[in-house]
Amino acid sequence: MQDTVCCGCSVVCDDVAVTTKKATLQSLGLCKLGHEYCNSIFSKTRLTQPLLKSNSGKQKPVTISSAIQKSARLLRESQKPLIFGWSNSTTEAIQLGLKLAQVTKGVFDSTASFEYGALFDAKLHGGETGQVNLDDVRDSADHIVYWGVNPAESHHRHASRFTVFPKGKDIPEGRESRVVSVIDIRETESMRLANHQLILAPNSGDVEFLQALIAELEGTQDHLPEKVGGVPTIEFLSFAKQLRDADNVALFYGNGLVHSTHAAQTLPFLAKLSKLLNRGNHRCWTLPMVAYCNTIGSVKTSVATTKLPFSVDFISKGVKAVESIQTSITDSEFDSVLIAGWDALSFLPGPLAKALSSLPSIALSTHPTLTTDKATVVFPVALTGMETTGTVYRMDGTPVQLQPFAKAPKGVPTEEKLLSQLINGVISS
Amino acid sequence: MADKKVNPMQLYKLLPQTNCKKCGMTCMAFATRLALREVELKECTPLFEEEQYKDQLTQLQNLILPLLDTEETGIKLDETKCTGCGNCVVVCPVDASAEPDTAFGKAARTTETVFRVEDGIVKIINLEKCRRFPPERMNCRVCEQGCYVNAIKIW
Ligand code: SF4
Ligand code: SF4
Ligand code: SF4
Ligand code: SF4
Repeated sequence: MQDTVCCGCSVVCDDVAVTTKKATLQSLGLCKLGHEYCNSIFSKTRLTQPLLKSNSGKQKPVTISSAIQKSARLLRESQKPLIFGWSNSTTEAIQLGLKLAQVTKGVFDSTASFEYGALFDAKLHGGETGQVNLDDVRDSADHIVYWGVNPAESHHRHASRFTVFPKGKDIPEGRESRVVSVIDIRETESMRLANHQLILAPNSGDVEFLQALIAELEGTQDHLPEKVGGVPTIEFLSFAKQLRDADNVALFYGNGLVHSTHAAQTLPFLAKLSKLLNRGNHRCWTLPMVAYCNTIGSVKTSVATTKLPFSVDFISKGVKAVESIQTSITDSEFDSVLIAGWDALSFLPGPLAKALSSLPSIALSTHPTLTTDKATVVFPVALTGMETTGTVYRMDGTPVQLQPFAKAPKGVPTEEKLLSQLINGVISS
Repeated sequence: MADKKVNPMQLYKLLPQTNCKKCGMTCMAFATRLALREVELKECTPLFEEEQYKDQLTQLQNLILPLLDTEETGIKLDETKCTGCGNCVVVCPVDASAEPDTAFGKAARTTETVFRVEDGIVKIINLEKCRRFPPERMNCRVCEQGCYVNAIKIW
Protein backbone atom coordinates (compact mmCIF):
# COMPACT_ATOMS: atom_id res chain seq x y z
CA MET A 1 0.00 0.00 0.00
CA GLN A 2 1.25 3.48 -0.74
CA ASP A 3 -0.05 6.79 0.58
CA THR A 4 -1.92 8.95 -1.87
CA VAL A 5 -4.29 11.91 -2.05
CA CYS A 6 -7.85 11.53 -3.33
CA CYS A 7 -9.09 14.11 -5.83
CA GLY A 8 -12.60 12.62 -5.94
CA CYS A 9 -14.16 15.65 -4.22
CA SER A 10 -13.26 18.87 -2.44
CA VAL A 11 -12.48 17.09 0.85
CA VAL A 12 -9.19 15.93 -0.78
CA CYS A 13 -8.47 13.10 1.67
CA ASP A 14 -4.77 12.68 2.32
CA ASP A 15 -4.92 9.87 4.87
CA VAL A 16 -5.62 7.12 2.36
CA ALA A 17 -3.56 4.40 0.70
CA VAL A 18 -3.79 2.32 -2.43
CA THR A 19 -2.11 -0.51 -4.23
CA THR A 20 -2.58 -1.76 -7.76
CA LYS A 21 -2.53 -5.44 -8.53
CA LYS A 22 -3.42 -7.09 -11.80
CA ALA A 23 -5.29 -4.10 -13.12
CA THR A 24 -7.43 -3.67 -10.04
CA LEU A 25 -7.17 -1.06 -7.35
CA GLN A 26 -7.15 -1.89 -3.66
CA SER A 27 -7.65 1.00 -1.30
CA LEU A 28 -7.78 1.83 2.39
CA GLY A 29 -9.80 4.75 3.66
CA LEU A 30 -11.18 5.95 0.35
CA CYS A 31 -14.95 6.37 0.35
CA LYS A 32 -17.00 4.72 -2.38
CA LEU A 33 -16.81 7.77 -4.61
CA GLY A 34 -13.08 8.14 -4.04
CA HIS A 35 -12.42 4.49 -4.76
CA GLU A 36 -14.38 4.70 -7.99
CA TYR A 37 -12.56 7.87 -8.95
CA CYS A 38 -9.13 6.34 -8.34
CA ASN A 39 -10.15 3.11 -10.01
CA SER A 40 -10.72 5.03 -13.24
CA ILE A 41 -7.01 4.61 -14.00
CA PHE A 42 -8.05 1.16 -15.20
CA SER A 43 -11.01 2.32 -17.19
CA LYS A 44 -11.32 0.64 -20.56
CA THR A 45 -12.61 3.81 -22.18
CA ARG A 46 -9.56 5.93 -21.41
CA LEU A 47 -8.56 8.37 -24.15
CA THR A 48 -5.05 7.62 -25.36
CA GLN A 49 -4.67 9.45 -28.65
CA PRO A 50 -5.30 13.01 -29.78
CA LEU A 51 -8.29 13.29 -32.09
CA LEU A 52 -9.00 15.80 -34.81
CA LYS A 53 -12.32 16.43 -36.45
CA SER A 54 -12.02 16.04 -40.21
CA ASN A 55 -14.02 17.93 -42.80
CA SER A 56 -16.61 15.18 -42.74
CA GLY A 57 -17.16 15.95 -39.05
CA LYS A 58 -15.67 12.68 -37.84
CA GLN A 59 -12.93 12.61 -35.22
CA LYS A 60 -9.77 10.83 -36.36
CA PRO A 61 -6.58 9.99 -34.45
CA VAL A 62 -3.64 12.31 -35.18
CA THR A 63 -0.16 12.81 -33.76
CA ILE A 64 0.22 15.06 -30.77
CA SER A 65 2.33 17.56 -32.68
CA SER A 66 -0.22 18.02 -35.41
CA ALA A 67 -3.00 18.33 -32.82
CA ILE A 68 -0.97 21.02 -31.07
CA GLN A 69 -0.30 22.83 -34.34
CA LYS A 70 -3.94 22.78 -35.29
CA SER A 71 -5.04 23.98 -31.83
CA ALA A 72 -2.44 26.73 -31.71
CA ARG A 73 -3.66 28.02 -35.05
CA LEU A 74 -7.28 27.84 -33.96
CA LEU A 75 -6.55 29.88 -30.82
CA ARG A 76 -4.32 32.35 -32.59
CA GLU A 77 -6.85 33.09 -35.28
CA SER A 78 -9.62 33.47 -32.81
CA GLN A 79 -10.69 36.95 -31.69
CA LYS A 80 -11.93 35.95 -28.25
CA PRO A 81 -11.28 32.41 -27.06
CA LEU A 82 -12.81 31.20 -23.83
CA ILE A 83 -10.31 29.25 -21.69
CA PHE A 84 -12.61 27.29 -19.49
CA GLY A 85 -13.12 24.62 -16.78
CA TRP A 86 -10.28 23.92 -14.30
CA SER A 87 -11.98 22.58 -11.20
CA ASN A 88 -10.32 19.19 -11.55
CA SER A 89 -6.98 20.49 -12.77
CA THR A 90 -3.86 20.99 -10.70
CA THR A 91 -3.01 24.51 -9.61
CA GLU A 92 0.08 24.34 -11.84
CA ALA A 93 -2.12 23.58 -14.86
CA ILE A 94 -4.50 26.40 -13.90
CA GLN A 95 -1.58 28.84 -13.85
CA LEU A 96 -0.85 27.83 -17.41
CA GLY A 97 -4.52 28.17 -18.30
CA LEU A 98 -4.36 31.78 -17.15
CA LYS A 99 -1.17 32.25 -19.16
CA LEU A 100 -2.84 30.81 -22.25
CA ALA A 101 -5.77 33.18 -21.82
CA GLN A 102 -3.28 36.03 -21.55
CA VAL A 103 -1.30 35.19 -24.70
CA THR A 104 -4.47 34.63 -26.72
CA LYS A 105 -6.20 37.71 -25.23
CA GLY A 106 -9.02 35.47 -24.27
CA VAL A 107 -11.27 35.05 -21.25
CA PHE A 108 -10.33 32.76 -18.39
CA ASP A 109 -13.23 31.26 -16.50
CA SER A 110 -13.78 28.34 -14.18
CA THR A 111 -16.49 26.13 -12.77
CA ALA A 112 -16.42 28.36 -9.72
CA SER A 113 -18.33 31.09 -11.54
CA PHE A 114 -21.18 28.63 -12.06
CA GLU A 115 -20.91 26.77 -8.79
CA TYR A 116 -20.47 29.71 -6.49
CA GLY A 117 -20.46 32.91 -8.47
CA ALA A 118 -23.33 34.36 -6.48
CA LEU A 119 -21.49 34.28 -3.19
CA PHE A 120 -18.77 36.53 -4.51
CA ASP A 121 -21.39 39.05 -5.50
CA ALA A 122 -22.70 38.79 -1.96
CA LYS A 123 -19.21 39.68 -0.68
CA LEU A 124 -19.53 36.76 1.66
CA HIS A 125 -15.89 35.88 1.42
CA GLY A 126 -14.44 39.21 0.36
CA GLY A 127 -13.43 37.85 -3.03
CA GLU A 128 -11.72 34.83 -1.60
CA THR A 129 -12.93 31.66 -0.02
CA GLY A 130 -11.37 29.55 2.61
CA GLN A 131 -10.48 31.62 5.64
CA VAL A 132 -10.99 28.72 7.93
CA ASN A 133 -9.06 25.55 8.33
CA LEU A 134 -11.01 22.32 8.59
CA ASP A 135 -8.52 21.10 11.17
CA ASP A 136 -9.64 23.99 13.40
CA VAL A 137 -13.23 22.99 12.81
CA ARG A 138 -12.44 19.46 13.96
CA ASP A 139 -10.50 20.73 16.97
CA SER A 140 -12.82 23.46 18.20
CA ALA A 141 -16.18 23.78 16.47
CA ASP A 142 -18.88 23.04 19.05
CA HIS A 143 -21.79 23.80 16.74
CA ILE A 144 -21.81 22.39 13.20
CA VAL A 145 -24.39 23.67 10.74
CA TYR A 146 -25.06 22.24 7.28
CA TRP A 147 -27.33 24.44 5.24
CA GLY A 148 -28.68 23.39 1.85
CA VAL A 149 -26.18 20.58 1.52
CA ASN A 150 -26.33 16.86 2.27
CA PRO A 151 -22.73 15.74 2.82
CA ALA A 152 -23.87 12.16 3.41
CA GLU A 153 -24.53 12.11 -0.32
CA SER A 154 -22.07 14.59 -1.79
CA HIS A 155 -18.98 14.73 0.46
CA HIS A 156 -18.90 11.33 2.10
CA ARG A 157 -16.05 11.81 4.54
CA HIS A 158 -16.67 15.44 5.46
CA ALA A 159 -18.59 14.64 8.64
CA SER A 160 -16.33 11.84 9.83
CA ARG A 161 -13.03 13.62 9.20
CA PHE A 162 -13.79 17.17 10.24
CA THR A 163 -17.21 18.03 11.57
CA VAL A 164 -19.80 15.84 13.28
CA PHE A 165 -17.98 12.77 14.55
CA PRO A 166 -14.27 13.25 15.27
CA LYS A 167 -12.75 14.21 18.57
CA GLY A 168 -10.59 17.32 18.56
CA LYS A 169 -8.39 19.33 20.90
CA ASP A 170 -11.33 21.12 22.50
CA ILE A 171 -13.84 18.42 21.60
CA PRO A 172 -13.09 15.60 24.04
CA GLU A 173 -16.12 13.45 23.30
CA GLY A 174 -16.47 13.88 19.56
CA ARG A 175 -20.11 13.82 18.56
CA GLU A 176 -21.33 14.33 22.13
CA SER A 177 -19.28 17.50 22.52
CA ARG A 178 -20.92 19.17 19.56
CA VAL A 179 -24.32 20.49 18.60
CA VAL A 180 -25.24 19.55 15.04
CA SER A 181 -27.87 21.31 12.96
CA VAL A 182 -28.97 20.46 9.45
CA ILE A 183 -31.15 22.84 7.49
CA ASP A 184 -32.75 21.85 4.23
CA ILE A 185 -36.06 21.86 2.41
CA ARG A 186 -36.49 18.10 2.80
CA GLU A 187 -35.44 15.41 5.20
CA THR A 188 -31.91 14.23 4.38
CA GLU A 189 -29.57 11.46 5.56
CA SER A 190 -27.33 14.04 7.18
CA MET A 191 -30.17 14.91 9.55
CA ARG A 192 -29.70 11.56 11.25
CA LEU A 193 -28.03 12.31 14.53
CA ALA A 194 -28.55 16.07 14.17
CA ASN A 195 -29.79 17.91 17.27
CA HIS A 196 -31.69 20.33 15.10
CA GLN A 197 -33.41 19.04 11.99
CA LEU A 198 -34.79 22.13 10.42
CA ILE A 199 -36.93 21.68 7.36
CA LEU A 200 -37.65 24.93 5.62
CA ALA A 201 -40.57 25.74 3.41
CA PRO A 202 -39.47 25.66 -0.23
CA ASN A 203 -39.09 29.01 -1.97
CA SER A 204 -38.98 31.76 0.60
CA GLY A 205 -38.35 29.67 3.73
CA ASP A 206 -34.62 30.41 3.75
CA VAL A 207 -35.05 34.17 3.52
CA GLU A 208 -37.63 34.26 6.29
CA PHE A 209 -35.58 32.00 8.51
CA LEU A 210 -32.38 34.01 8.05
CA GLN A 211 -34.14 37.30 8.67
CA ALA A 212 -35.69 36.03 11.86
CA LEU A 213 -32.37 34.58 12.97
CA ILE A 214 -30.64 37.91 12.48
CA ALA A 215 -33.39 39.76 14.35
CA GLU A 216 -33.15 37.23 17.17
CA LEU A 217 -29.40 37.66 17.50
CA GLU A 218 -29.64 41.42 17.27
CA GLY A 219 -32.37 41.45 19.88
CA THR A 220 -34.78 43.25 17.58
CA GLN A 221 -37.33 40.47 17.20
CA ASP A 222 -40.76 41.65 18.23
CA HIS A 223 -43.34 39.18 17.10
CA LEU A 224 -42.88 35.63 15.89
CA PRO A 225 -45.60 33.71 14.08
CA GLU A 226 -46.22 30.04 14.77
CA LYS A 227 -43.70 29.04 12.18
CA VAL A 228 -40.53 30.68 10.92
CA GLY A 229 -39.84 29.86 7.28
CA GLY A 230 -41.76 26.63 7.77
CA VAL A 231 -39.98 25.65 11.03
CA PRO A 232 -42.00 25.57 14.26
CA THR A 233 -41.04 28.63 16.30
CA ILE A 234 -40.06 26.63 19.35
CA GLU A 235 -37.47 24.73 17.29
CA PHE A 236 -36.30 27.94 15.71
CA LEU A 237 -35.73 29.54 19.11
CA SER A 238 -33.85 26.60 20.51
CA PHE A 239 -31.61 26.52 17.43
CA ALA A 240 -30.98 30.27 17.68
CA LYS A 241 -30.05 29.94 21.34
CA GLN A 242 -27.57 27.15 20.70
CA LEU A 243 -26.10 29.11 17.85
CA ARG A 244 -25.56 32.11 20.12
CA ASP A 245 -24.20 30.02 22.98
CA ALA A 246 -21.62 28.18 20.87
CA ASP A 247 -17.98 29.20 21.13
CA ASN A 248 -17.19 28.23 17.57
CA VAL A 249 -19.83 27.74 14.92
CA ALA A 250 -18.83 26.10 11.65
CA LEU A 251 -21.44 26.79 9.00
CA PHE A 252 -21.25 24.90 5.72
CA TYR A 253 -23.60 25.94 3.00
CA GLY A 254 -24.32 24.40 -0.37
CA ASN A 255 -26.28 24.56 -3.56
CA GLY A 256 -29.58 24.63 -1.74
CA LEU A 257 -28.75 28.10 -0.48
CA VAL A 258 -26.49 29.37 -3.23
CA HIS A 259 -28.80 28.42 -6.04
CA SER A 260 -32.04 29.21 -4.26
CA THR A 261 -34.30 31.53 -6.20
CA HIS A 262 -33.64 34.09 -3.48
CA ALA A 263 -29.83 33.82 -3.50
CA ALA A 264 -29.55 37.57 -4.06
CA GLN A 265 -31.13 38.04 -0.62
CA THR A 266 -30.03 34.93 1.25
CA LEU A 267 -26.31 35.28 0.68
CA PRO A 268 -25.98 38.84 2.06
CA PHE A 269 -28.10 37.72 5.02
CA LEU A 270 -25.81 34.77 5.54
CA ALA A 271 -22.84 37.12 5.52
CA LYS A 272 -24.57 39.23 8.12
CA LEU A 273 -25.39 36.24 10.29
CA SER A 274 -21.78 35.13 10.16
CA LYS A 275 -20.67 38.61 11.19
CA LEU A 276 -23.10 38.72 14.08
CA LEU A 277 -21.89 35.41 15.40
CA ASN A 278 -18.27 36.54 15.22
CA ARG A 279 -18.09 38.60 18.35
CA GLY A 280 -15.83 38.70 21.41
CA ASN A 281 -14.37 35.26 21.82
CA HIS A 282 -17.02 33.66 19.63
CA ARG A 283 -16.19 32.52 16.11
CA CYS A 284 -18.37 31.66 13.17
CA TRP A 285 -16.58 30.00 10.27
CA THR A 286 -18.62 30.06 7.09
CA LEU A 287 -17.63 27.90 4.17
CA PRO A 288 -19.19 26.88 0.84
CA MET A 289 -19.33 23.15 0.09
CA VAL A 290 -17.76 23.32 -3.35
CA ALA A 291 -17.87 20.05 -5.25
CA TYR A 292 -14.58 19.53 -7.04
CA CYS A 293 -11.05 18.92 -5.80
CA ASN A 294 -9.59 22.21 -7.00
CA THR A 295 -12.46 24.67 -7.43
CA ILE A 296 -10.88 26.70 -4.66
CA GLY A 297 -7.49 26.40 -6.36
CA SER A 298 -8.93 27.93 -9.53
CA VAL A 299 -10.24 30.88 -7.51
CA LYS A 300 -7.03 31.33 -5.53
CA THR A 301 -4.80 31.12 -8.59
CA SER A 302 -6.94 33.55 -10.53
CA VAL A 303 -7.00 36.02 -7.62
CA ALA A 304 -3.24 35.73 -7.17
CA THR A 305 -2.54 36.51 -10.84
CA THR A 306 -5.35 38.88 -11.77
CA LYS A 307 -7.08 39.93 -8.52
CA LEU A 308 -10.30 38.53 -9.99
CA PRO A 309 -11.76 35.20 -8.80
CA PHE A 310 -12.93 34.07 -12.27
CA SER A 311 -14.44 35.41 -15.50
CA VAL A 312 -11.25 37.32 -16.34
CA ASP A 313 -11.02 39.11 -19.69
CA PHE A 314 -7.43 39.62 -20.82
CA ILE A 315 -7.58 42.85 -22.79
CA SER A 316 -4.60 44.62 -24.43
CA LYS A 317 -3.71 46.32 -21.19
CA GLY A 318 -4.27 44.16 -18.14
CA VAL A 319 -7.56 42.53 -17.28
CA LYS A 320 -11.19 43.32 -16.72
CA ALA A 321 -14.02 41.33 -15.21
CA VAL A 322 -16.59 39.81 -17.53
CA GLU A 323 -19.93 41.00 -16.25
CA SER A 324 -21.87 37.84 -16.92
CA ILE A 325 -20.12 34.89 -18.46
CA GLN A 326 -23.48 33.30 -19.14
CA THR A 327 -24.66 36.25 -21.22
CA SER A 328 -21.31 36.40 -23.00
CA ILE A 329 -21.68 32.75 -23.97
CA THR A 330 -25.27 32.97 -25.14
CA ASP A 331 -24.59 36.26 -26.99
CA SER A 332 -21.83 34.49 -28.96
CA GLU A 333 -19.04 36.76 -27.77
CA PHE A 334 -16.57 33.91 -28.03
CA ASP A 335 -15.40 32.40 -31.27
CA SER A 336 -13.57 29.41 -29.84
CA VAL A 337 -13.28 27.55 -26.57
CA LEU A 338 -10.71 25.41 -24.77
CA ILE A 339 -12.08 23.22 -22.00
CA ALA A 340 -9.91 21.50 -19.40
CA GLY A 341 -10.63 19.80 -16.09
CA TRP A 342 -14.40 19.73 -16.47
CA ASP A 343 -17.02 18.08 -18.64
CA ALA A 344 -18.66 21.43 -19.24
CA LEU A 345 -21.21 20.32 -21.82
CA SER A 346 -22.69 17.70 -19.48
CA PHE A 347 -23.01 20.04 -16.53
CA LEU A 348 -23.96 23.41 -18.01
CA PRO A 349 -27.61 24.33 -18.47
CA GLY A 350 -28.96 23.52 -21.94
CA PRO A 351 -28.77 26.91 -23.68
CA LEU A 352 -25.19 27.49 -22.51
CA ALA A 353 -24.07 23.99 -23.49
CA LYS A 354 -25.71 24.45 -26.86
CA ALA A 355 -24.02 27.79 -27.49
CA LEU A 356 -20.61 26.36 -26.53
CA SER A 357 -21.00 23.21 -28.57
CA SER A 358 -21.46 25.24 -31.73
CA LEU A 359 -17.97 26.79 -31.34
CA PRO A 360 -14.71 25.33 -32.62
CA SER A 361 -13.36 23.71 -29.48
CA ILE A 362 -10.33 22.07 -27.92
CA ALA A 363 -10.99 19.58 -25.12
CA LEU A 364 -8.47 18.19 -22.65
CA SER A 365 -9.89 15.10 -21.04
CA THR A 366 -9.08 11.72 -19.53
CA HIS A 367 -12.18 10.00 -20.84
CA PRO A 368 -14.68 10.50 -23.65
CA THR A 369 -17.41 12.90 -22.54
CA LEU A 370 -20.09 15.00 -24.14
CA THR A 371 -17.48 17.78 -24.26
CA THR A 372 -14.95 15.65 -26.15
CA ASP A 373 -17.65 14.31 -28.48
CA LYS A 374 -18.28 17.80 -29.81
CA ALA A 375 -14.66 18.95 -29.87
CA THR A 376 -12.65 19.93 -32.92
CA VAL A 377 -9.46 18.75 -31.21
CA VAL A 378 -9.33 16.30 -28.31
CA PHE A 379 -6.24 15.81 -26.16
CA PRO A 380 -5.98 12.85 -23.81
CA VAL A 381 -4.46 13.88 -20.48
CA ALA A 382 -3.28 12.28 -17.25
CA LEU A 383 -5.64 11.89 -14.30
CA THR A 384 -5.23 14.59 -11.66
CA GLY A 385 -3.92 13.11 -8.44
CA MET A 386 -3.35 9.52 -9.50
CA GLU A 387 -1.03 10.27 -12.39
CA THR A 388 0.16 13.81 -11.73
CA THR A 389 2.21 15.67 -9.18
CA GLY A 390 1.15 19.20 -8.29
CA THR A 391 -1.03 20.98 -5.77
CA VAL A 392 -4.75 21.23 -5.21
CA TYR A 393 -6.61 23.34 -2.66
CA ARG A 394 -8.99 21.57 -0.34
CA MET A 395 -12.41 23.17 0.13
CA ASP A 396 -11.05 25.23 3.05
CA GLY A 397 -8.19 26.61 0.98
CA THR A 398 -5.52 24.34 2.46
CA PRO A 399 -2.97 23.38 -0.18
CA VAL A 400 -2.39 19.65 -0.54
CA GLN A 401 0.53 18.12 -2.45
CA LEU A 402 -0.57 15.30 -4.71
CA GLN A 403 1.01 11.87 -4.38
CA PRO A 404 0.59 10.01 -7.68
CA PHE A 405 0.60 6.22 -7.64
CA ALA A 406 0.24 5.40 -11.31
CA LYS A 407 1.63 6.37 -14.69
CA ALA A 408 -0.52 7.76 -17.47
CA PRO A 409 -0.88 5.52 -20.54
CA LYS A 410 2.01 5.80 -22.97
CA GLY A 411 2.08 9.07 -24.86
CA VAL A 412 -0.57 10.72 -22.65
CA PRO A 413 0.76 14.00 -21.21
CA THR A 414 -0.25 15.88 -18.08
CA GLU A 415 -2.41 18.96 -18.62
CA GLU A 416 0.53 20.99 -17.43
CA LYS A 417 2.87 19.64 -20.09
CA LEU A 418 0.28 19.93 -22.82
CA LEU A 419 -0.65 23.51 -21.95
CA SER A 420 3.04 24.54 -22.00
CA GLN A 421 3.37 23.10 -25.48
CA LEU A 422 0.20 24.81 -26.57
CA ILE A 423 1.36 28.18 -25.21
CA ASN A 424 4.68 27.73 -27.03
CA GLY A 425 2.78 26.86 -30.18
CA VAL A 426 0.66 30.00 -29.93
CA ILE A 427 3.61 32.29 -29.18
CA SER A 428 6.09 30.89 -31.68
CA SER A 429 4.02 30.79 -34.83
CA MET B 1 -14.17 -16.54 20.64
CA ALA B 2 -16.02 -16.42 23.89
CA ASP B 3 -18.06 -19.05 25.71
CA LYS B 4 -20.62 -20.52 23.37
CA LYS B 5 -22.59 -22.38 26.05
CA VAL B 6 -25.66 -20.81 27.56
CA ASN B 7 -27.77 -22.36 30.28
CA PRO B 8 -31.38 -22.96 29.06
CA MET B 9 -32.70 -21.95 32.50
CA GLN B 10 -31.15 -18.53 32.15
CA LEU B 11 -33.00 -18.22 28.85
CA TYR B 12 -36.24 -19.62 30.22
CA LYS B 13 -36.39 -17.07 33.00
CA LEU B 14 -36.30 -14.30 30.44
CA LEU B 15 -38.93 -15.75 28.10
CA PRO B 16 -42.58 -14.70 28.55
CA GLN B 17 -43.36 -18.05 30.24
CA THR B 18 -46.94 -18.02 28.98
CA ASN B 19 -46.66 -21.24 26.99
CA CYS B 20 -48.70 -19.62 24.26
CA LYS B 21 -47.13 -21.99 21.75
CA LYS B 22 -46.86 -19.45 19.02
CA CYS B 23 -43.41 -20.90 18.48
CA GLY B 24 -44.86 -24.35 18.17
CA MET B 25 -43.74 -25.57 21.58
CA THR B 26 -43.65 -24.67 25.25
CA CYS B 27 -41.44 -21.97 26.65
CA MET B 28 -39.11 -24.46 28.30
CA ALA B 29 -38.74 -26.47 25.13
CA PHE B 30 -38.09 -23.27 23.25
CA ALA B 31 -35.43 -22.29 25.77
CA THR B 32 -33.68 -25.63 25.43
CA ARG B 33 -33.67 -25.53 21.68
CA LEU B 34 -32.61 -21.89 21.69
CA ALA B 35 -29.56 -22.82 23.72
CA LEU B 36 -28.76 -25.44 21.12
CA ARG B 37 -29.29 -22.95 18.31
CA GLU B 38 -32.03 -25.07 16.78
CA VAL B 39 -34.53 -22.22 16.82
CA GLU B 40 -34.18 -18.49 16.46
CA LEU B 41 -35.21 -15.96 19.06
CA LYS B 42 -37.46 -14.18 16.58
CA GLU B 43 -39.77 -17.20 16.46
CA CYS B 44 -41.02 -16.14 19.88
CA THR B 45 -43.15 -13.37 18.43
CA PRO B 46 -44.65 -12.01 21.67
CA LEU B 47 -41.18 -10.96 22.79
CA PHE B 48 -40.93 -8.61 19.86
CA GLU B 49 -44.53 -7.51 19.71
CA GLU B 50 -45.29 -6.73 23.30
CA GLU B 51 -43.80 -3.70 24.97
CA GLN B 52 -43.75 -5.37 28.40
CA TYR B 53 -41.00 -7.79 27.28
CA LYS B 54 -38.71 -5.11 25.94
CA ASP B 55 -36.04 -5.36 28.62
CA GLN B 56 -36.17 -9.14 28.66
CA LEU B 57 -35.71 -9.14 24.92
CA THR B 58 -32.55 -7.06 25.14
CA GLN B 59 -31.17 -9.30 27.85
CA LEU B 60 -31.97 -12.38 25.81
CA GLN B 61 -30.34 -10.92 22.76
CA ASN B 62 -27.18 -10.22 24.69
CA LEU B 63 -27.20 -13.68 26.18
CA ILE B 64 -27.41 -15.45 22.87
CA LEU B 65 -24.92 -13.23 21.05
CA PRO B 66 -21.98 -15.54 21.75
CA LEU B 67 -24.02 -18.39 20.33
CA LEU B 68 -24.08 -16.90 16.93
CA ASP B 69 -21.19 -17.39 14.59
CA THR B 70 -19.51 -14.67 12.58
CA GLU B 71 -21.98 -14.74 9.78
CA GLU B 72 -25.00 -14.14 11.90
CA THR B 73 -23.81 -12.17 14.89
CA GLY B 74 -25.29 -9.05 16.28
CA ILE B 75 -23.91 -6.73 13.63
CA LYS B 76 -24.72 -6.87 9.99
CA LEU B 77 -23.52 -4.67 7.19
CA ASP B 78 -25.44 -3.89 4.06
CA GLU B 79 -22.60 -3.34 1.64
CA THR B 80 -24.92 -2.11 -1.06
CA LYS B 81 -25.89 0.85 1.09
CA CYS B 82 -22.46 1.65 2.53
CA THR B 83 -20.79 4.77 1.13
CA GLY B 84 -17.49 4.22 2.89
CA CYS B 85 -17.99 7.46 4.82
CA GLY B 86 -16.08 6.11 7.81
CA ASN B 87 -18.53 7.39 10.44
CA CYS B 88 -18.58 3.95 12.06
CA VAL B 89 -14.78 3.72 12.04
CA VAL B 90 -14.51 7.08 13.79
CA VAL B 91 -17.21 6.52 16.43
CA CYS B 92 -16.45 2.93 17.47
CA PRO B 93 -14.78 3.05 20.90
CA VAL B 94 -12.86 -0.14 20.16
CA ASP B 95 -11.34 1.43 17.06
CA ALA B 96 -10.38 4.45 19.15
CA SER B 97 -8.26 2.34 21.46
CA ALA B 98 -6.93 0.03 18.75
CA GLU B 99 -5.89 2.87 16.45
CA PRO B 100 -6.26 6.19 18.28
CA ASP B 101 -6.06 8.42 15.18
CA THR B 102 -9.39 7.06 13.97
CA ALA B 103 -11.20 8.87 16.79
CA PHE B 104 -9.81 12.11 15.33
CA GLY B 105 -11.25 11.38 11.90
CA LYS B 106 -8.45 9.49 10.25
CA ALA B 107 -8.99 6.40 8.12
CA ALA B 108 -8.31 3.04 9.78
CA ARG B 109 -5.06 1.73 8.35
CA THR B 110 -4.04 -1.08 10.69
CA THR B 111 -5.56 -4.53 11.07
CA GLU B 112 -6.53 -3.90 14.71
CA THR B 113 -9.85 -2.08 14.41
CA VAL B 114 -13.37 -3.48 14.25
CA PHE B 115 -14.17 -1.48 11.11
CA ARG B 116 -11.95 -0.60 8.21
CA VAL B 117 -12.94 0.95 4.89
CA GLU B 118 -11.49 -1.16 2.08
CA ASP B 119 -12.07 -0.53 -1.62
CA GLY B 120 -14.64 2.13 -0.85
CA ILE B 121 -16.80 0.02 1.47
CA VAL B 122 -16.52 -0.72 5.16
CA LYS B 123 -15.51 -4.19 6.30
CA ILE B 124 -15.76 -5.65 9.78
CA ILE B 125 -12.29 -7.05 10.27
CA ASN B 126 -12.36 -7.89 14.00
CA LEU B 127 -15.94 -8.61 14.94
CA GLU B 128 -14.98 -10.36 18.16
CA LYS B 129 -13.57 -7.10 19.49
CA CYS B 130 -16.99 -5.45 19.48
CA ARG B 131 -18.06 -4.49 23.00
CA ARG B 132 -21.38 -6.23 22.59
CA PHE B 133 -19.66 -9.55 22.94
CA PRO B 134 -18.35 -11.05 26.16
CA PRO B 135 -16.65 -10.17 28.35
CA GLU B 136 -18.11 -6.64 28.11
CA ARG B 137 -21.54 -7.45 26.72
CA MET B 138 -22.34 -3.79 26.53
CA ASN B 139 -25.36 -2.57 24.75
CA CYS B 140 -23.28 -0.39 22.45
CA ARG B 141 -24.87 0.85 19.25
CA VAL B 142 -22.90 3.91 18.35
CA CYS B 143 -21.81 2.59 14.96
CA GLU B 144 -25.39 1.83 14.01
CA GLN B 145 -26.52 5.25 15.18
CA GLY B 146 -23.71 7.02 13.35
CA CYS B 147 -24.40 5.44 9.97
CA TYR B 148 -26.22 7.96 7.80
CA VAL B 149 -27.56 5.38 5.38
CA ASN B 150 -28.72 2.58 7.69
CA ALA B 151 -26.10 0.19 6.42
CA ILE B 152 -25.42 -1.21 9.93
CA LYS B 153 -27.97 -3.34 11.69
CA ILE B 154 -27.52 -4.48 15.27
CA TRP B 155 -29.86 -6.86 17.01
S1 SF4 C 1 -14.49 12.24 0.69
FE1 SF4 C 1 -13.90 13.00 -1.30
S2 SF4 C 1 -11.69 13.20 -1.20
FE2 SF4 C 1 -12.31 11.89 0.53
S3 SF4 C 1 -12.12 9.81 -0.24
FE3 SF4 C 1 -14.23 10.45 -0.64
S4 SF4 C 1 -14.18 11.30 -2.72
FE4 SF4 C 1 -12.07 11.15 -2.03
S1 SF4 D 1 -43.84 -18.22 21.63
FE1 SF4 D 1 -42.68 -17.53 23.38
S2 SF4 D 1 -44.21 -17.22 24.89
FE2 SF4 D 1 -45.17 -18.44 23.35
S3 SF4 D 1 -44.77 -20.53 24.02
FE3 SF4 D 1 -43.15 -20.07 22.67
S4 SF4 D 1 -41.61 -19.36 24.05
FE4 SF4 D 1 -43.46 -19.27 25.20
S1 SF4 E 1 -21.48 -1.88 18.69
FE1 SF4 E 1 -20.04 -0.44 19.62
S2 SF4 E 1 -18.18 -1.63 19.99
FE2 SF4 E 1 -19.46 -2.82 18.61
S3 SF4 E 1 -18.69 -2.27 16.59
FE3 SF4 E 1 -20.40 -0.90 17.03
S4 SF4 E 1 -19.45 0.90 17.93
FE4 SF4 E 1 -17.94 -0.72 17.99
S1 SF4 F 1 -21.16 4.53 8.75
FE1 SF4 F 1 -22.43 3.29 7.38
S2 SF4 F 1 -22.08 4.10 5.33
FE2 SF4 F 1 -20.45 4.87 6.66
S3 SF4 F 1 -18.78 3.43 6.39
FE3 SF4 F 1 -19.93 2.75 8.18
S4 SF4 F 1 -21.44 1.31 7.36
FE4 SF4 F 1 -20.63 2.43 5.62
